[in-house]
Amino acid sequence: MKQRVLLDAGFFSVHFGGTDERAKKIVENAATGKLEAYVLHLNLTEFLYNYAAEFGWEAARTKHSLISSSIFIKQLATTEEIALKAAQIKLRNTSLSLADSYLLAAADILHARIATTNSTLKEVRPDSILLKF
Amino acid sequence: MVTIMDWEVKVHDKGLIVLPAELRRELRIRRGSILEAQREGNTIVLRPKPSLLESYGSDGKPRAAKVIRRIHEERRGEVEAEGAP
Repeated sequence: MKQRVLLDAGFFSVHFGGTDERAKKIVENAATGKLEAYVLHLNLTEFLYNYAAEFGWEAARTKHSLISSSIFIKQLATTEEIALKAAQIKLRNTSLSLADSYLLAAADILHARIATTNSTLKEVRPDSILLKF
Repeated sequence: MVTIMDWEVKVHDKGLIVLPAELRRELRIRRGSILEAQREGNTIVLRPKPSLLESYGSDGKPRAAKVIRRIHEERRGEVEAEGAP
């Protein structure tokens, strides 16, 4: 089975900011079919409005278009299975936000590593790829 | 000066065409790249759209870091608010 990577909201800022070459490598490997990349709609939303707050809505729309047209990044809607698992995770870990919990739940279900900028996620899931920024 | 080069490509089933490897390499067109097609009379112009791959580092580090800090602060704020009496 190909390696699967679930991209957190901060991943895209790392990529667009050029702060960690591993983000570029993940995109390259996804584009050439060497790995499968996923992003939750929830995390994409998080990225977009935070990005818009810094760069403006038009710039955020441009980035959204770049991400959406990258067919090798599969966008995932929230499912009931993810929602239930996220609820269990959040119940057990009071230091996690809802977005963190959804990310961990989806990663469990997909058997994916998480590419994140959030060190809390790395503590909970040590196989996560902690990106520099 | 713009260099004009010509290639011949064959149209396959469902309109599929294969761009020559040399052209793909020079224009950095890869699997998953999006091209914009424009018709000008009997001519078709294909333009590579900027891709996610090529946009690495396009924003600059300081502002990208600011966006990431915003995301983290928001998540932290949510957790702290839940813990508040």
